[in-house]
Amino acid sequence: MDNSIIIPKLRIGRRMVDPFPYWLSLLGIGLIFGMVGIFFLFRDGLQVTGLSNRVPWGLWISIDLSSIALGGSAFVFGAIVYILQMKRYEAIGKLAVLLGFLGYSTAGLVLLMDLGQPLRFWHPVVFWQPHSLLWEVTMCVVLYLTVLVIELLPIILEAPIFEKHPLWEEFPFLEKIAPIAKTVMHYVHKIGPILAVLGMTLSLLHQASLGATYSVLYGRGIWFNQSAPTQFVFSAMSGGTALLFILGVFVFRVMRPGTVEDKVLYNVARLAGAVTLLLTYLKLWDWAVSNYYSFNEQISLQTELLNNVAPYSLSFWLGQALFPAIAGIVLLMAEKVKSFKMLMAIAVLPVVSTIITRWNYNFSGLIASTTYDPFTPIVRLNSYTPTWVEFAVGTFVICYWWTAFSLAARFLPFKAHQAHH
Amino acid sequence: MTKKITLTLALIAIVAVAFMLLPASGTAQAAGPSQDVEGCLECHSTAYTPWSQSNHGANNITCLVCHKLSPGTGQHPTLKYTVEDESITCVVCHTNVAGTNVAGQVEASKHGEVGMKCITCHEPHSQSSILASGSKIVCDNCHKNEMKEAESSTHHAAGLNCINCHMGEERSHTLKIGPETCGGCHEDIHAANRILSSGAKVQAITTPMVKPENTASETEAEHSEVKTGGISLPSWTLIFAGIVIGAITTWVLFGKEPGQPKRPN
Amino acid sequence: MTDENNITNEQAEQPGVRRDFLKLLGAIAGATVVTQAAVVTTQAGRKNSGGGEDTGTGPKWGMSIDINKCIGCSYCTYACQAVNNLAEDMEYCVVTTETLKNGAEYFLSRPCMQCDEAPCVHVCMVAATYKRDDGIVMMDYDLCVGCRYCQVACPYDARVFNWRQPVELSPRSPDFGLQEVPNRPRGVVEKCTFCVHRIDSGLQRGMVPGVDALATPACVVACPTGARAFGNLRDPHSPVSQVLSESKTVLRLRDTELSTAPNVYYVPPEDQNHNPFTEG
Repeated sequence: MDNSIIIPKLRIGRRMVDPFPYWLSLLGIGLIFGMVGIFFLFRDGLQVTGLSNRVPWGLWISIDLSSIALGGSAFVFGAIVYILQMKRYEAIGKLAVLLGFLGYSTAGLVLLMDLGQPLRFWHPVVFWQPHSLLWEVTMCVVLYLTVLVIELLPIILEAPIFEKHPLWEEFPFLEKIAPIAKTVMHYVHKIGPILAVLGMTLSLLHQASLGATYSVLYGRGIWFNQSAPTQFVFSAMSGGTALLFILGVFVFRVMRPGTVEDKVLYNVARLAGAVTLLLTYLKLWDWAVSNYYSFNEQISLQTELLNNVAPYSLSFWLGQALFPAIAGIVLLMAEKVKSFKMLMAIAVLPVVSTIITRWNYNFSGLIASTTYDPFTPIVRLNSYTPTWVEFAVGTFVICYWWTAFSLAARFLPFKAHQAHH
Repeated sequence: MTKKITLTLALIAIVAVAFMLLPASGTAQAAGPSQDVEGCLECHSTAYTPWSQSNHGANNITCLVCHKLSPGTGQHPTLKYTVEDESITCVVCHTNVAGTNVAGQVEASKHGEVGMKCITCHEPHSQSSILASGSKIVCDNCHKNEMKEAESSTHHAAGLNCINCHMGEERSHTLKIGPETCGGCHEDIHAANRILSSGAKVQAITTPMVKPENTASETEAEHSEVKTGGISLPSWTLIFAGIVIGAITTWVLFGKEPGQPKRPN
Repeated sequence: MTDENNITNEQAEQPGVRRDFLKLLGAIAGATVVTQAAVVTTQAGRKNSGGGEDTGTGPKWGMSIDINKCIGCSYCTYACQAVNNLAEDMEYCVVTTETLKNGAEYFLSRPCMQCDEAPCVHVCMVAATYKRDDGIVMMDYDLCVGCRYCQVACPYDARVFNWRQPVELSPRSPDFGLQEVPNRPRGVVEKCTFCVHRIDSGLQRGMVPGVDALATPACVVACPTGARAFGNLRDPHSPVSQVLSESKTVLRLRDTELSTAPNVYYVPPEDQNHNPFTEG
């Protein structure tokens, strides 16, 4: 097993250039821009955002929902590797754990910014209100993030710096850490199945209750949807697995050829395709149930208003029905398509579809909200314009995601098998 | 020896405590309710300025006339609201101030009928009338439609206000209008019998001299506000999305297959 | 269906990898069951949380608003802003112009409904908002983290987020009253409290909220036409109970639809073609 990583190079003229430093500095600019925004946010409070009492949740919540959804592959592959005991998927499972951690930590970061009192972020952990779905979401995020950190530990600790490494001579303390790292890895590997079960439970609970966070708000018409929790779970599995496939091809096939068989990657694509098709099927039934088999004046008014100001129905039929259906079929036939280029491009569709789903779901009930007039119940249209601070914070968390991922892809080995197994 | 030291220390302590207590009890007395206005002013500064410029201030109707002390003890009340009901606080004097029974007038008026109080229109400390945001005079707070009509009237153009007719020169709080109200100004109307003869002129009077605000355009504006909701994203986000889609398409069309298949041995 | 056809049509080169895929599909099926169970439990939990029967013995504060008497002057809003020291654009109590089915306009004045089944209380993740025994939905401003879930949950838009630092002196002060409660910090959600400080201190002094002005919410006292009545809903002689028993119909906003059981009652306009309350 060789640990060598092939660095992808860009051809500029005749020279081959390693784009990594340039890519990192681009992300650095984004991070600095984001920090300026964060400074203004923490100094002046949420008044610097475009949020209002009518639209209290905006761009950040959409980012939060999307990043959690795109981290959904972690629980899927945790279960595959540790519960179904498919060791073939161990390497790709490690990448999934990393993506899960990144998704959840991004969400935590952006949620912290979104609080009116950021210093009280620990309140839900101490002051329990188990009736609240948001409490459940918060507790699950906190606990699952802990699980993910523990699962992530061996992935970081297997980095070459913890085995015989030239840096040991310069920093002798590394030599002392190395055996501790070995012990930690050993024990984490032992409790792996427990972590996987715990992670899957927490993550399933939490993805479902994110949907339920909206769907229990029975006063909001379009949000009161029985199948939203199920849809949230499956769209997280679909988008998360599709993203895992894209990044898996990049991390394993391009940078670490030989670590993962092509067959395994094809299977990841097929899994993404299967879940995407299932999700599309669910979504079409959900559409039929709420628009065809039943009539709700509020929902039809809301849909009509949303269509007036945005391509709402179009985004459903294209972005959430047609594209995922095509992507699902193509990904399911991954072994027939055989072109990784094509499969990666197609796998972007479920990812985008997941983001569109979250975006639409968050804004549909806020932009077209119901009023309380008892005689002529109407739906009111609210407006929301994100300010530059919101974009800056969004840029910050997205750049954080890419920076962490790039560093991991470059420096972590993602070994296929444990040394002592 | 130790006994002596303890005694001295105890004495010093007693004297010190006594000195600490003395000035404290002194100030407590000084800040007591016996000193009206100045004593109150030490803490309650908000109401002082409006009061001092008011009729009450000019006529030495001090704080304690309206704000009662605690019954029995005569001390500063511990609870917040020390003003009795309006029927005691205001009406007790205003049945006969400068010979007019304002309280009685209010009671006889339409305002009194629906149970309006003095403080509905008058700020109690300055006694000036309350103005809501956007109101020009106190009547405008509630009678918005009437105010709009009045603003387009000949009377308004001539510089008259609600109170010119409804209160008259004696500022009656009944707010009632009688035959004498019009006659006060239009003395010659009946004498010249012009009401019958000059219908055209009356028509001219009822036509508004000041053009009223176009209500149609207002509702239209409200309507358009309802229509222009939604999320407005800056144009660069769309450009960014376009670049990303373009890059992916270009790569799919012209890029090369990512990575080389290599089986582990 | 597509999935299985695809597998059977496929040439199984490597039985191990093929079995993998079947296992994966099995895992998805398992996940479906777990999720659906979670959803059912959640929904059942929501239904069971309802109480409904009025069995209490202490006072239960309520308000009635007579839409016929409301002239839309917004004195209630202004008095509320002065007493709670609110900026001009922060309104606990909102007066809006609405239309009847026959096209006629009327004014709808809306304080917090103080619902018995308050959605905001159910959703608050740190229990910063809670229901008092006397029916008032209170906020603990020291607990609130400012997540704004309650704002999203409230069907009446009754909650106001403190986007900025509190103002030093409300523009409505001193004309409509003076500040009576401490300022709230930036970044918490605020709401109408039925002027709970007036009620509590009034009761201490032996006053009757709803009858004595100093123990009654500022909006009720400020209303120039007496459109609002306040008092103990469990006391048949309180002003609000009298209004409710005298009027032919009363309605509560969105109660038939959402079962929030608000403690604010409306006397509907007399000239209306359509009254959802009488229709059930």
